Amino acid sequence: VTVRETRGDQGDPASAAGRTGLFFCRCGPNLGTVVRIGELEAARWPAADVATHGVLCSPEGQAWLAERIRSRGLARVVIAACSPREHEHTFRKVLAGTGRSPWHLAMVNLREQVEWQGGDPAAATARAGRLVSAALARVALQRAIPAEEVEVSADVLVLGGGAAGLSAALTLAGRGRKVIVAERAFVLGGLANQLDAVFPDLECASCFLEPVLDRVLHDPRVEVLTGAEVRRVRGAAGRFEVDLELRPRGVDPAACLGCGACAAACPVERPDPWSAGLGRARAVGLPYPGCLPHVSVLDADACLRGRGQGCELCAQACAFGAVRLDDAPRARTVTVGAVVVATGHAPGEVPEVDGVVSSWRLERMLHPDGPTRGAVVGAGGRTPASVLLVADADEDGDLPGRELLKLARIVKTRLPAARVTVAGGLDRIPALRRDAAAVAREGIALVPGRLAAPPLAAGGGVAVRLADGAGGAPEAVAHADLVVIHGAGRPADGTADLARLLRIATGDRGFLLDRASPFEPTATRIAGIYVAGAAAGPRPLADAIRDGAAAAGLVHASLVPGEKRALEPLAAEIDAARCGGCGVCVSTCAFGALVLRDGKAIVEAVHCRGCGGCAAACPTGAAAARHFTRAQLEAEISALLSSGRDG
Amino acid sequence: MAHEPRIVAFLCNGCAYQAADRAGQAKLDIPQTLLTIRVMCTGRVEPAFVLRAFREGADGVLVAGCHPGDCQYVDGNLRAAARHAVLVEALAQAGIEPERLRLAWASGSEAERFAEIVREMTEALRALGPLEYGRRALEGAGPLAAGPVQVQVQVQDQGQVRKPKVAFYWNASCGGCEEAVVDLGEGLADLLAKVDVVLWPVALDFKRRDVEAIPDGGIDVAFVNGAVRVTEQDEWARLLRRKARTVVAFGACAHLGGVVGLGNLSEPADLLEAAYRAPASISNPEGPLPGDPVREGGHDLSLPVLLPRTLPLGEVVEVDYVIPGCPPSPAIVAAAAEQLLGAGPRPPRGAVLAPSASLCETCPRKDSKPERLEVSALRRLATSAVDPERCFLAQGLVCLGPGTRQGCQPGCVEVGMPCRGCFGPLDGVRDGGAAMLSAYASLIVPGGPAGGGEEAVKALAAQLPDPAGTFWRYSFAAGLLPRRPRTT
Repeated sequence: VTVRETRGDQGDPASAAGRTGLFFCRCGPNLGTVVRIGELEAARWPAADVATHGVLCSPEGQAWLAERIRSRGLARVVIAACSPREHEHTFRKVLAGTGRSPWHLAMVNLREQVEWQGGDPAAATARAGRLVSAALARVALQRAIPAEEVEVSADVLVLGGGAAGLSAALTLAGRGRKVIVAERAFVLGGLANQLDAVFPDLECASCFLEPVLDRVLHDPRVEVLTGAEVRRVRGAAGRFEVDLELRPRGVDPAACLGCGACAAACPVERPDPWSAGLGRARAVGLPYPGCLPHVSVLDADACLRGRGQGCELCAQACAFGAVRLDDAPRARTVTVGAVVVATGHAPGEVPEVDGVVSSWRLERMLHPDGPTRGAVVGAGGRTPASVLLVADADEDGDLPGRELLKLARIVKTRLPAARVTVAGGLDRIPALRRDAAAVAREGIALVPGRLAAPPLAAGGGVAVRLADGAGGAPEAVAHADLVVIHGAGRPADGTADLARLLRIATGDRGFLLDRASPFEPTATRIAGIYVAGAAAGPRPLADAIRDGAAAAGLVHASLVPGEKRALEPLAAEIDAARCGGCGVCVSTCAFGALVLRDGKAIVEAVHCRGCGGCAAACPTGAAAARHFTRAQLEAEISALLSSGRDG
Repeated sequence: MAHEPRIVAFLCNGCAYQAADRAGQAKLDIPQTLLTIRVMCTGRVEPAFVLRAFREGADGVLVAGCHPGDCQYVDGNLRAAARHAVLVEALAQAGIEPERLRLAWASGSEAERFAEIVREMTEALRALGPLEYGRRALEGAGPLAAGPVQVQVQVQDQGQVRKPKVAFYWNASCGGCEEAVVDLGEGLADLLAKVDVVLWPVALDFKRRDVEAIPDGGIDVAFVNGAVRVTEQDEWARLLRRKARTVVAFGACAHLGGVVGLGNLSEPADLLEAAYRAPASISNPEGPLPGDPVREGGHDLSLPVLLPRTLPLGEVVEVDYVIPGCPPSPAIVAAAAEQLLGAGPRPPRGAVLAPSASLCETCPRKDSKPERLEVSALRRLATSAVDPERCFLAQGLVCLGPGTRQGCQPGCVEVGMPCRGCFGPLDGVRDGGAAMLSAYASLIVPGGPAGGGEEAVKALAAQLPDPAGTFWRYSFAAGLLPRRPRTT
């Protein structure tokens, strides 16, 4: 290590800012071939102390720097060395160690962005000189930023009470976390709780979900909010503030026993939203048999009162006085340290043709408590003698195949005499081969071919054109009394709005995107927000449950009760005297960190991430970005362009 | 060696700066043309920074950040894209080629892409040649080389009670500022009773020699309206500066160049061509232009000639006070007269005599502003039905109120017109047009980050007609880039 010191005090024109030191680092052999360090060092700089060191980041170099800062009484330091991405942190610590503000450092990236980009040494050295000038101009204007902390909330908000959300909630509550489960519907369990049996062993869905639901509903650490919609999200990991709107249930859950007397009294009949379009239901009553919480819901839109007519029949019929005809929406704001998004997906849709159903509608048919009480109904309302199952969802991978194999087995059990066929050549898909073989042994036919055209009603049944996409084989036309199509899953209603509120990305199909970070499954691009289950795209139930547990594990690991989170040091500032309350900054802040109060913008530092967007947008100069102030950046621009002309 | 372009590059810390580092680590061949400024996000980059870089000698400006969708601040890069789209259009109007201002995306791992961006931009700028805005475009008229005239402010006449001597003069203006004086109504009679008018061409007959005969410093206050556009106005400005102890820039043209300043979007020769030769309604077969010598009745005659650009009064002579507005409202004219001619203490020298506060604060529509302003469709006053009570910005109309100084009330907003910025920016804002361009463009985010993305933002920004005339309607000649950089 060589230390070469140059001249001593040159006088410091920026004396108000304190004495400034300018240090060049040779970075071992890395700097000095293209950029002529000696030439730079010998130039006249407005700095009190100019020196060069061999390896400034080494322990010896750091000690030398600290000593130099102390002995020369330097208040500010410019280091021309490697990228600040590499060692800004190191040198800030050195400054802090000498009692200086770590914010009084500016680095010049000579290594990555000049030396290593090669070219003519004269041009490179001239450019390096401009960059040094800019750093000196900027450092004189840099201000110390006090470190501030805020206590984190260890509570967690789980959006969605389906399988993935329940999994996350239980895994969190099991370690003592307070969990708020906000479910948009008035029942928990999501799509899974409406299934009869799940893949691959035809296990009874409600048998394994109900105990879980029971635990969630009775765990004192879990608060369940139903009818909940997210309206606003602010803040960052460790402290999010989420405004929820709780839609009115119209029934007091504490008083209702779920007896159904209200539904029996209700004069309104409308399509049943829980029957996949198969059945009809009253405007008030249990969403579906066995739902949890087992409490009636009054659909205000369907109710006669919602149409301006007077009717109180349900309230009169309720022996427990549980009906609340005047129930109104409520607002609720929760402060949490993390958010797990588990809002699920919507099943694929299929064309409206008699005898054609979606796989989801078949699921509901097969459920013994479903709209057909478990009966399989084909074209013309008859029990089908032949059933064809086919997928129309290439984008969902193996999932449609698994679903169809499961459904085929159940159908074959219910209708042993029926000819059951699964198209798609599933026995040729490696991941499905074993299950497909088992299905075939049960007398279910497996045929190649994918849906080549929309199904058509034909001869009292349905005709389907199948084509084998693989080899260009001729199309085949299959006939069946019931055709079951598994369409591609869709994002649940409101997913796009939710993504916007949470500031997380969506993919091509509109599903929420995780960050695809191998060691942080379910983590999104926003720290502290996780996406679990089918909200990120259709997936097997087991995977959704695993996602929930994974998200909970990451929350446990990163959000420790009692810890403090450093406030963003670069948080924006507002000069109230200049602020006209125009609201441009408030409107452009992606984090909701700016609010208007009494006609002036205010920065809520706990929510600010320090991007500086407000400072750029503010038309009066009231908003300022710390460490990236207008004065600092303008000084950089001027210095870059004003030093001796090159070229 | 040929001129190597100088590119000021604003690189975001999250992506582009990292890409530049990676390009170095990979020892990629990159021209030594970038002068890099690290910012946390491209959303921090103010259009005024870009203008300043050009003004101070950059040949190009690069703003590079994360790909849309990857911004760690969600949509900072889309805000940058909106500002860029509007700014590039405005710069094109001012004769700065779009290739000189580039917005690019490079993730932290895209070293080669970053290198390619720098190579392409360097090549493009080599082909265009130097911009050298500062060297040519900022130079003024010939006489300006001497710089503003310095005047020794004299002590008030001791013990003598006399009426202050006042001059009103007009340079390149429409006459509206004279109207503003007359608009004082009965107050004008009071004012005139208190002062001794030594010059007021609109009302009384004075000759230049009358003013020249006044001893230097013999006028107490000269109110000068209008921009300085021709040589004669330059001479009058200097004459009045010499004769008056206090010079007041009266109205938007004297303050910021005003609408006259939009002439700086064209070269003088083109203006003359358009005014005196091109119009079909003008018969000018021999094609003489003002300034060409004419011999008439044995005398050599000529008209004053256009200066290379319109100048605010303050760029020709030192100005002591500014009364802003197009025109200044009677209220602020009366208040200024009291401040400058009354017995009380004067405001600090250099003050703009209207509150340094945003018009929004006093706007009757301010309570109708939604929590978040988002411009998802641009509307124009001429072709849209306008809600008479709702915030203009909330209706998708361009309103410069947020960045404009108060003092006009009752002004345009009260009669259903969005603010067009005639009172200029608040103290300390160097370029009000650039500031309002940034503010307005920042609101253009159709559908938010989950919505239309970069293309939608650009498409919306492109619908804004005449951005230079919209945001610098009254202040182009006083902006960071007050004229075209080169002859067309």
